[in-house]
Amino acid sequence: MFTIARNDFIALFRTPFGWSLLASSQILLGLSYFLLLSNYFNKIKYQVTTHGVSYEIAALLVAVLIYISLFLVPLLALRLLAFERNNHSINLLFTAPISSWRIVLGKFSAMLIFIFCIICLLSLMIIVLSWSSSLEWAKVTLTLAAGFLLLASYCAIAFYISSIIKQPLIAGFASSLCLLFFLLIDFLANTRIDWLDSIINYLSLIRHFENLIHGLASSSDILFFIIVIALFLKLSQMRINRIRFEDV
Amino acid sequence: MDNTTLLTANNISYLYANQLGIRDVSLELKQGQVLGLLGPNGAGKSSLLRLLAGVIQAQQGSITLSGETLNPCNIRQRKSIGYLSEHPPLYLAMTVDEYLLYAAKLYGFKTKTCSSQLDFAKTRCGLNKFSRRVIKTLSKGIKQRIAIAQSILHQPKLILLDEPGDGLDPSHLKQMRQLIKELAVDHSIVISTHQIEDVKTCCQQLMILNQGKAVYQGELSDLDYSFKTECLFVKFATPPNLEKLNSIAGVDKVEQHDKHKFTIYGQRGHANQGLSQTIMHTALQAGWNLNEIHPQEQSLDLLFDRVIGEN
Repeated sequence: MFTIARNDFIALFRTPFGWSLLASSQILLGLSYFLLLSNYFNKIKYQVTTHGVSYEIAALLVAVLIYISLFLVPLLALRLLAFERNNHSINLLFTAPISSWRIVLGKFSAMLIFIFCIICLLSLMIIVLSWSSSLEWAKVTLTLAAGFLLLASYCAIAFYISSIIKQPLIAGFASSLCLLFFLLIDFLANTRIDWLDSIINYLSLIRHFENLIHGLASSSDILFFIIVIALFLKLSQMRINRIRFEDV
Repeated sequence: MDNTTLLTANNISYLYANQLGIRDVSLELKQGQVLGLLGPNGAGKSSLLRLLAGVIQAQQGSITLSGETLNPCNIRQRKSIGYLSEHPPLYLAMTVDEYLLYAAKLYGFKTKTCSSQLDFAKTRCGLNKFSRRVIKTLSKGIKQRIAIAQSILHQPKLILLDEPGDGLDPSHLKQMRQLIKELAVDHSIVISTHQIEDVKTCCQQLMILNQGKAVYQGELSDLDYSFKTECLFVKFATPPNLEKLNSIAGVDKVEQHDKHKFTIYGQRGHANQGLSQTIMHTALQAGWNLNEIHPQEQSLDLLFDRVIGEN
């Protein structure tokens, strides 16, 4: 598993692909950072009530990353699975004496390492704020952890979509749509049937994320993300188990 | 089972969504033997190799490797098999060393012990001077060698090569055949190929597949015995009547080279040794003035066509 994770992570940077993803995400996050910063200073200047720098900048910056990741994570997933299936390099893994679980966990770990790198770079931007303002470190840490959990769920979902669609472009597009659906499913929660609305709200990734960034470290929200990740990884493993017999 | 038998398949069948993949195929491969799978496109060669590699499981029949039943779920058994699929599984952005090291680790070798495996595979496949080269910058022939190196680096008992010479130029093809011959010294090999020359050069055993069925199986020399018919080169001073030539008893086919020269194939099962006498007799009667008549060597291609044609 570690061999696959290490190789796939390094492989992302052997071509301009990984660098481009990293650079474009940093450019977008950097721009957002300055916009959020200037917005925050304007609020102070005009004495508008703010929620503090930990929310106004740190939490919103993580929220921006979550929307950027609607495109970033599917690209990552299609590079590690759909693209490899398309050029048959994945047959090396499929014919090797390793279980489908190891393949799934290895590739998933590579995606997590990449996401972790982006979150680390984002953390640097937030840490810079501590020079001039007092950050609520617990809240910021929880926000970053919530962001990581949400993006890990993205990775699991996008990985599964990439495993069921072989064409990289279609897989990427379908993953983005699917992630958007799971993120904002609460928009559908207006059926006026209480139990149905509450189920729809419960399934929304953003609701659980919002709970965490507001400082409510609820174990049920954390458990929700873990269940989503486990479920989609299991589905991916079942799918990989099947395609390793079809593709080779 | 003979104690040197490495691989046996007993009446294996595999269906693809109601289409026939492999039908009732049996084979036996002894240690150190090379078996060539020959057949037209869609004959089931790749499917048979996938079954033998334990990638898919036979729906009927069984396959045993070193006396143990092959099971796709048994990942440990894959260590005994080196499988090169139709599409070489190469990571083009890696160097040759990086790729082989990665493959070795996937087969469970530790970094410290990997170097001897890498050296073995690179030396066998003549890749030492390409160690630090990025795979995408190398020629197709070298890429194919890298893919073979990957399939042998764990020193498997059985090597399965699916069209290893596909798309290679004549010089690379020659090198590839030489490599397979060298590998055959200490491995048992099954090759699927379209190239009859591959079979002639590398294999002792031959299986011809057609529509998922083994239509010929045995030693390469037996194919000559079973399917060869008399083939004569004849030259007449007077151009003969082609219709009359074709109608001579025992003649299967006549190939005309020019007005005077012909190749005549005898029918299978006919008393071929009498064909030349019959032709001489007919030529004398018809006044065709026979100048030359002698047996001609038949190519394996022709025998292959004949086997497929008859089935």
